[in-house]
Amino acid sequence: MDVAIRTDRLTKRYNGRAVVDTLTFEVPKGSIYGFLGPNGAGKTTTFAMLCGFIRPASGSAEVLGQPLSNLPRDRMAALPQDARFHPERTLEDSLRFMAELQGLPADRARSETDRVLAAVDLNEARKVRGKALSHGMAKRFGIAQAFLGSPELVLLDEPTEGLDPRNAHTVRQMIRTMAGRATVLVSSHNLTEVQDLCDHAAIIDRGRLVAQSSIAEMTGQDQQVLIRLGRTASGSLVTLKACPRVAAVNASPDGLTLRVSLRVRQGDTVEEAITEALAALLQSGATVGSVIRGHSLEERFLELT
Amino acid sequence: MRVLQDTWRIARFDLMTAIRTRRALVALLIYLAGALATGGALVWVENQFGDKIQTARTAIDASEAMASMQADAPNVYEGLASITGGDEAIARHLLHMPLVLLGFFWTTLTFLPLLIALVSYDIVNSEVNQRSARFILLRTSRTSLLLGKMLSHGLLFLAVTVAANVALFLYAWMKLPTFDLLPAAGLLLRFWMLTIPFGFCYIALAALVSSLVDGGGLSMAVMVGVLIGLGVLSSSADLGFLSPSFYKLNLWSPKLLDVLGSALAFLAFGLIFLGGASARLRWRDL
Repeated sequence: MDVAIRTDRLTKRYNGRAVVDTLTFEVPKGSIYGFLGPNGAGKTTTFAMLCGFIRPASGSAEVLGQPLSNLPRDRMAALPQDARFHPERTLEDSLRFMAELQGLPADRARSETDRVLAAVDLNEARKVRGKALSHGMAKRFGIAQAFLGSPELVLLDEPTEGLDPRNAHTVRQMIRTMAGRATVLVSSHNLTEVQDLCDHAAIIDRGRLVAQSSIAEMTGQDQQVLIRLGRTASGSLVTLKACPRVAAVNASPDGLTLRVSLRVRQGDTVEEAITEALAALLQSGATVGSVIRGHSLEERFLELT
Repeated sequence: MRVLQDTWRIARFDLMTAIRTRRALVALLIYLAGALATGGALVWVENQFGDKIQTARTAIDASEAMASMQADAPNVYEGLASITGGDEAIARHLLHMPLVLLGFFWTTLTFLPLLIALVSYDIVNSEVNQRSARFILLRTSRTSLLLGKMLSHGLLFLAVTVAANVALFLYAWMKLPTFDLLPAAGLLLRFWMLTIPFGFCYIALAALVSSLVDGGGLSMAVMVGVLIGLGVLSSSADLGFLSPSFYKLNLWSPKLLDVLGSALAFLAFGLIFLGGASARLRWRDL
């Protein structure tokens, strides 16, 4: 597997306390990778180390094959959570300056500035100075600068936090357009967003890795299905449990919510297993309200942290 | 190569910011006020004591010239004595220069470190505290950031001194019938050349203090304190050589080697301060 980021026992301590503790994870190249954890889990500190702002106490990391001491700055971009935009300069000036620092020639820096300002809907605010930006505008500025040029790796720390739904949607669309072309590491508290956007994820808690896998594996999309019934019938559970592709069933006390563990054999598909389970339920006289594959990421997150 | 390109880009951006935030204007006004006040006073002195100064300039040896000055123009004598620390050879050498230009150079050597303390005290920590450094450091090295900020401040002070001194120069030319334009311009150029290592040394000192101390106000206070400390240290017989101020006097010397030695000393101090600032910045979290 080609890897964009690899950390090996990465550790950061403040006043003797490890805020990132022997963290080891790998971000596959080309993936949109969710980086999850409760407040204070060490996500922002990890981002800061990967961006070269702070130095690890021990351990190491490679970003696009380069060690932290020699980061490939011209191939990566980031939205640091607590970075501020220069208070006295306009959005346009700052973005052009950053584009030129990335090595873009002056005319390309100008066109890239126009492109990213339009993408985050800040075209009309291009002459606004940093000190006059609202929280949402500052966030959009941060996203705009992260999408300048064609970085191979983009690190986004809480990209949609504080944005209104329309702008959050725009940002998610921007991230989706990067899929396949670049690797994107996204930290977010919005687990639905991560589940929807990312193909891989890591969960950290108190600085330590607690899970890392593809979203499908993490949420058990290929192993479990949550079925909500409109109406249950006597014998529904028995019929369901008798299906060869059903391994186990957990029912809620009212019998209307069923968590079904699937047994997918070689040559079978998950869809065939789900269809078989639903057919058995319908045959028993029950009606089906909704079907959700796997756990929600939120459930998994709450289990692990 | 990339470091130099990025240094220039950061310097240009920072310089434009200084102009737009009027920081440059404030620096210019402070310096201009000081230079013109000194220049005005010296034009008056030259007009008042011009013939006596001329007599001293024609004296055969240094002690005779200084004795003549002491008798005929005691204020001018005291001024020269304070600049030269009583060195009569240097004082006599200075007598041959237009007083206005001496005033300019004296103003520069005396007030430029203070102006640097007032304007550049947050040269590094402002970017770090505002966290705007993070957007820059995503794209370039800490070395480029440091050098870019120093270059920007260096260019600002160079522009300010040039602007103030051109004004002073024109003023003296208009007011003093004895003001000889071409030799004075050559002398002014020489003083500017010497101002570069001198200014570099103190900008590097500001960068060092600003990378060691986080708070803006505190770093200004520490910088002023360090300047006072270095001034006191320079007067020590045994340890004076450890202070850049110790090498100021020889910048006035008639001997080229002494002047170059002093300029090199300022350059060396500047490099030591820059090395310290760079090491601190390299190893700290931002």
